[in-house]
Amino acid sequence: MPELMTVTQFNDKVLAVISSSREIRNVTMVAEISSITRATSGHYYLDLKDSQSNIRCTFFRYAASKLIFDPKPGMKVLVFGGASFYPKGGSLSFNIEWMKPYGKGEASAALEELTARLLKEGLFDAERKRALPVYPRAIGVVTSPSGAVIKDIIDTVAKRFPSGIILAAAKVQGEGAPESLVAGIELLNSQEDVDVIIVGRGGGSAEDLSAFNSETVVRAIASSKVPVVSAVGHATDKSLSDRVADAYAETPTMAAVMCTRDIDDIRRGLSFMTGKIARSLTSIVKDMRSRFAYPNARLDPRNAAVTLERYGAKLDLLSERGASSVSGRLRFMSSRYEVLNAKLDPKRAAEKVEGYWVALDSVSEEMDDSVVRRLADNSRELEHRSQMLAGLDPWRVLDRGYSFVTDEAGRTVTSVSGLRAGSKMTVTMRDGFVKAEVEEVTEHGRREE
Amino acid sequence: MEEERNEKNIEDMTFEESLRALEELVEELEAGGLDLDESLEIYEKAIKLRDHCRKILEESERKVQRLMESASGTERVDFTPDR
Repeated sequence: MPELMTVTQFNDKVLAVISSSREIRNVTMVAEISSITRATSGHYYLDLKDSQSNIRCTFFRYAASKLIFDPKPGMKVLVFGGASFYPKGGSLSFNIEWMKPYGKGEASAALEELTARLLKEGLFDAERKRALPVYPRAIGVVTSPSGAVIKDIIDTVAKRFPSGIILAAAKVQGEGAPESLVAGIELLNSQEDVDVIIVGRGGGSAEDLSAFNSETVVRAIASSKVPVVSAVGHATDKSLSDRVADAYAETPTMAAVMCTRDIDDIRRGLSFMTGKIARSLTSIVKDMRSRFAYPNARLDPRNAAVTLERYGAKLDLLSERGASSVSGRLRFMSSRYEVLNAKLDPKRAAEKVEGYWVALDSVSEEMDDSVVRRLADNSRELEHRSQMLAGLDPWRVLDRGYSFVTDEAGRTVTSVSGLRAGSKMTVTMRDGFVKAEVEEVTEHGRREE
Repeated sequence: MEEERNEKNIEDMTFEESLRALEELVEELEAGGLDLDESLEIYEKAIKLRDHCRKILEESERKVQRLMESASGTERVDFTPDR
């Protein structure tokens, strides 16, 4: 008589067989969700199927907490787990340890759904993209502290604009990665000097971009106060982070380049601008110089001195009523002119000014504002003195209606003493002179100017 | 008024701000119509801005730091990646 088995005994044997069977443990399976319910305990109970068969599945809370999408009936999924037998009820099920959307690359149903939703919300719109700063005070980087990403960014920035780099270390894949990335983005947003953020993946499996496709990360990037550059580094298939970011870089190095400008270019730009300033200034001074040239030529102090000398000599020989005031004035002016003339030394001043102009012309090379300032002071002084001198020109006095008198020997006549009726004299006026003869002499004392 | 404010703040300006201010001064100078005093004033300011820019370029330390969260809040510590 064959040995009788109890149901319990049978089920225990089944459990033993199942538990020891490698073929039905640690299985990756592709399936479609036919139904799914989530218990208040957090466990999922679902049915997976293909075109012919169906299997009941359990997905316990601890495993389900790692889900990066919201599983729904009709979705194709990739599950990993194994057979699990429940002896008391004699039921076989598949216990899921992880579940991912299954599809062509990242274009899984879940991702498609999220993409469509965010697209509709306008999160990927070109109008949302902000310009990156060219000279950021600090560049925030959200990435792994140990990958090549941070190294590449540090090395690249070091060769370019001296921005600071502030790392918010984050987990870029696996459990907790989305939360960690979001925390990093938010933390860097709280830093006053961070003008741009690079979110980089770096290291790890080339496949696992899931964190960068998670809604929380996408939304954190979208709501960042400062522009975000995504350097997730997956040329063939952009992640949602790449699409929502203000700029997308294929490599961390490229991201760093996008956030900075080459220091030599900056230096050249600065030199160019200071050169422009110097040229503008030079042309302003040149303009001033040509304005100055007119009174300068008119004045020509050497000529003026000669003129003065000549008429001064004539004046000494002449005397006529009324002439004294003119001549006294002329003498006075003459002496003042001499003083000024000596002080001014036009030749030396002109040389000096020429020297300044030469200096100014070289200003575009290396500018020295004190030279320019001295030049300006000097030019102003020269202009002022020229005007003063022009005012002292004896011919100006004649213009005003005065004339001066010289005797036959050509000496200026400043007094009536020594003149008598019949004395010959020459009276010089603005536009010529007259030979004259004294008719009568009246002396009425000295008249002060 | 604005000039005064700028004058006071050149030292606090970011690189971008001083560069923008410098560009504006260049435009102002190039537009012409300024007398020598005004030009010199602008020139002087431009040189200050240029020197500030250079200072940022040459002297600023390229600090690399890592944010660390602690009980007292977030702090920055110097960071050197593993080579």
